[in-house]
Amino acid sequence: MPARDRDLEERAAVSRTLAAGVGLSAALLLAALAGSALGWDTRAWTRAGVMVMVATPYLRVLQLAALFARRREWRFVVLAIAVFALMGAGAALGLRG
Amino acid sequence: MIQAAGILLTGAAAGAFGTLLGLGGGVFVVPVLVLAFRVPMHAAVGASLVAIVATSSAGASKNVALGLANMRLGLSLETMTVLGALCGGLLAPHLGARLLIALFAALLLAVSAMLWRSGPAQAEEGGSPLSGPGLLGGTYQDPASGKDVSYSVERLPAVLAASYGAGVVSALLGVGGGLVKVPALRLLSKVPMKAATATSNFMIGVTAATSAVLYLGRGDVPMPVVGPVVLGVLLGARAGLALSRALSDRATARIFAFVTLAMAAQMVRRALAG
Repeated sequence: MPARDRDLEERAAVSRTLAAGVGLSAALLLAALAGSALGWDTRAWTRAGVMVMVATPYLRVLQLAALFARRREWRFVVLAIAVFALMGAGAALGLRG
Repeated sequence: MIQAAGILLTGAAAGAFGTLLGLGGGVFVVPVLVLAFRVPMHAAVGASLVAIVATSSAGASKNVALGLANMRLGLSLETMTVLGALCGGLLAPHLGARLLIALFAALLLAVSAMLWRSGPAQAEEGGSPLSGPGLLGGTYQDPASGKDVSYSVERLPAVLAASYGAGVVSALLGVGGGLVKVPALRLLSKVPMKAATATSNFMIGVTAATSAVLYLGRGDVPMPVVGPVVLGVLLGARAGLALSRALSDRATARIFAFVTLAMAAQMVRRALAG
């Protein structure tokens, strides 16, 4: 596959991941907002929407690692793994207080 | 319900500016939630961080497809922004708020002046850099002019250092860090303004998601507030994206300079007030 086509395909894949995360999160949050207007307890839906939104960048970093590995661009694979490890370290530090 | 509608509109304004300027929008969301809706500061920052992730992901999904966001450059700089965010998070309890605000105001004033006076980036001067885009540079089609724009990345160590600083600032002040990254990419690396804002926007979600997990763990993300904020931001991001396509690089830089100047004035007032 020509480099330009492969580049376009990879950008489209990352774009789809981000759009899917945003779309799913927005649907959950919208449903929660509509439900709360009807007097329902929708805190679990809101929490699920927030969790999906926050998880999306984590997924995007992992996806970049996979895309660069397929291209054998190892320095970017290492960078993506380093970013993911740092994000995980931050979460672990925070949860430990 | 009226309050939810007001919060949704606040999110929409923040999303539009955030996407247009490569900021997360936190600098707009936090003060309005605290001052107008009486949300406690920590809860406002927690909601803002989730909104920043939303702005980044929504904007980046479009900018990545268009080729405006440079994924290799963004990933390279993310190592430093996330590291900076971790260091900033550990440093935060040891620094006085007044000192932080004064430092931030000084930084904003300097950035505003530099952006206002900055000349056109290499791509606006007509054509590709002689050496080609290199490993971290990029090529995109400018949506406003329709021309292909190619650029390289200059002074990478300086931009890596600035990205580390952006991460520290993000963690200390609950903002996305675009205020530091965009000027650094534009002024130090000579990246065209649109690629700088799109790449900054692409990176911001990672830094904010790292911090947001901490706030979620502590229960500092208020569920009744975060829904309308995020939905508003998503609506606003669409408007911001349309605006960024219509405006020239120079106009975007001028708007950015004006916004940073206005925020610097607000910060100076807060620092003086204690």
